[in-house]
Amino acid sequence: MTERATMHRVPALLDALARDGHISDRQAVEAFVLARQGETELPLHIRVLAGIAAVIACACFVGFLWKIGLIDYDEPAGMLLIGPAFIVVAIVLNRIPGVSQATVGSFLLQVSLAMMATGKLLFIIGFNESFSTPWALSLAALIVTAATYHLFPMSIDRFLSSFVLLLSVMVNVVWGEETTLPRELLVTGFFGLQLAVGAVLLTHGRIRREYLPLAYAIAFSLCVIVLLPAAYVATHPMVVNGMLAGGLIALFAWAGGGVDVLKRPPMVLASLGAVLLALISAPALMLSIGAMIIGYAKHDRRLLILGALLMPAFLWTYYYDPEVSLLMKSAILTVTGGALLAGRFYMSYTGKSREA
Amino acid sequence: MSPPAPDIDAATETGRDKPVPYGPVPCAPAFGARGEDRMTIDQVPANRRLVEELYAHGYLTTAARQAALEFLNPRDQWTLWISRLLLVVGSALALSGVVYFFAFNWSQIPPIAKFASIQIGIVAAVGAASVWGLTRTHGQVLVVGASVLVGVFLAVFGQVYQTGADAFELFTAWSVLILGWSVISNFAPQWALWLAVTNVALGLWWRQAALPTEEMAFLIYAYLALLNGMALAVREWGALRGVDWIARRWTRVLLTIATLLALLVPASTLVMADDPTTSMLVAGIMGLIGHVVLYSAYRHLLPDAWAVSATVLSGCLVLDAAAYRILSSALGDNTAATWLSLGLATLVIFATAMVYLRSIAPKLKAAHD
Repeated sequence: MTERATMHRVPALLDALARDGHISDRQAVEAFVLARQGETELPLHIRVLAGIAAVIACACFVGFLWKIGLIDYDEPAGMLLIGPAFIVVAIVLNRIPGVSQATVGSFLLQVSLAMMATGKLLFIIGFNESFSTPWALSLAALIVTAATYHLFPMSIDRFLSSFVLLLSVMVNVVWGEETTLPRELLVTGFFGLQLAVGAVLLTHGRIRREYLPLAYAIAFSLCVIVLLPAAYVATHPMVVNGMLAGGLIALFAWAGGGVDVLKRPPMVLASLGAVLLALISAPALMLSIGAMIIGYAKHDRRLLILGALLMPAFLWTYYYDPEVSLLMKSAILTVTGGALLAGRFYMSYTGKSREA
Repeated sequence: MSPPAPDIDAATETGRDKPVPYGPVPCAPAFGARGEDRMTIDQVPANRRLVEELYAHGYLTTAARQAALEFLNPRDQWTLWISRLLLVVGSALALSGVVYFFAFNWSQIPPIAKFASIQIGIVAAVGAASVWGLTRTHGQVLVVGASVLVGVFLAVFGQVYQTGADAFELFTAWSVLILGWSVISNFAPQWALWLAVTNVALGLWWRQAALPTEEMAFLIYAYLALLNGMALAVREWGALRGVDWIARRWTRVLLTIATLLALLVPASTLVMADDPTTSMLVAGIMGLIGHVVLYSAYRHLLPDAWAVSATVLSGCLVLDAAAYRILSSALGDNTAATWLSLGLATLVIFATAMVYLRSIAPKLKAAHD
């Protein structure tokens, strides 16, 4: 499972394609590839550093504003004014030209991220305090996320904003007041919508890279729904399992390069396996397998790790799920594990598994 | 399916997507993007996303896309990965199902059945592992399964016979009993399990048997740092000698994080303490020195951008703690000023770290390549 695909660079890929006569105008392809890259994003570990600094600094700034009385629950209008002001300053700082001097540039980057986080937090709190409905939180999160997604091109901010928005919607849908629509329908619909949008964002070639943070936020949000027993029981479990099984089969076709591969015997068996998982299993297992397949196919280590971590997280939370008896859980896990091992046995038996 | 025609309009939705002549590309700033960071074609990783983009914009035909996908993820690599995924996930779920079953029937199961089933499991796993051999994944996974069952057996033993043993004794026995299998397993996950069990045993021993005074309480961090630091040193020694199974990147990541955590807590506590105890002083100084050692090792001896970044991040947190101490002392009761200046100090500390990490990144990459 930890086996990773070999990482290649573009010239090696283009060499291979040119050798087989698949590329005629190599220069045009290279120009397109470079244009799609934009500028180099900072490595993930440096982005994590920036994110942690922004969170600590944001907490300090909120503490400061609290102490000087600018954060006042009785006067939410103040927060509604100061929040957007912080956001505007953050955007301006991020766009200051001539930041080629690394020291100034990195400092401004940190300041703008911290100010953006503070501004969004203030606006959301202020907006929430101004209205008496819990949906105000989601609406405020939607407003700040939509307003800044394209104006503030920091992937960590895009991810966190989108995740907070999805999380707030989930809380409202699962635990909020009753509506005219049945809760089961709302939660299942919310899950299905996220699954569909997430699948398109992660697998479609025309989706621009700036939407990747949104795709990761959706993946995390889906994980939260399948891990939280309270959220999952609020769905229609068989419909959710059906969606995930359908998603897995579509994923097999995508990973194999087209719908035609589903006609091959191993893929037919894999598809039947997915249907079996939908009938007997828990959704977290299918989501975990799906995330790992996309991660492996796209050389995306973040999704691979997310899928791998979802498995033990599920086994931990599943134990405490009060809705299913331990005996039933035991049967589900054993049968699911047995089905997967049978798949492995089939691969060994037919010689498709070349063990290292 | 016919290939779509080159779609220049779609490619020009943003300035960033506009096809331009070969060479540096003017574009909107990405996260942290600065002018000096432009990519060359040699730096761009080839992955599925790129292939899908080329296909979607008409630069690849269906056949070319298929050939590119086959190049990136050859079918035999896919099948090997899937077969391992099925083996690991299937085994984990089946074992979990067994554990859940025991949990369900625990009070109804007679002791003899409890012992027999666990012992049969251990014997079967070890027997099958010896048949398959420890050079194959099957055998290695089975040894991990047997090691987990040894822990289950010890827990059941203590419960059935009411031995009154402390939890640290269970974990110590577990660690000792599976050490031999770990040595012969040549399997990093088996060692990870052993190290986790041993860390817990050490922590529990400190609380349940060593019973340290307040003066000595912080020494546990020194012990944990030594344990994990030694494991990290052994890992690096093995990797340098060409031991493949230990040289997997995740082993360095795991051990570096474990070591840094044991160094960070006493170091940051020391810099914030007004009147440090002896153990706080010892463990704290060790924590500070440990940061320097790790930094030097991964900056100069074994260049690794990720490990250096993790060490620098931990160092930044220690510095932030020191900044809090200095600012709160200097500004006294003026907490508003303390919060504001601490926020600014945090930004300065981390921005400096980012600048430094960005400046050494090419050197680390070159050394790694």
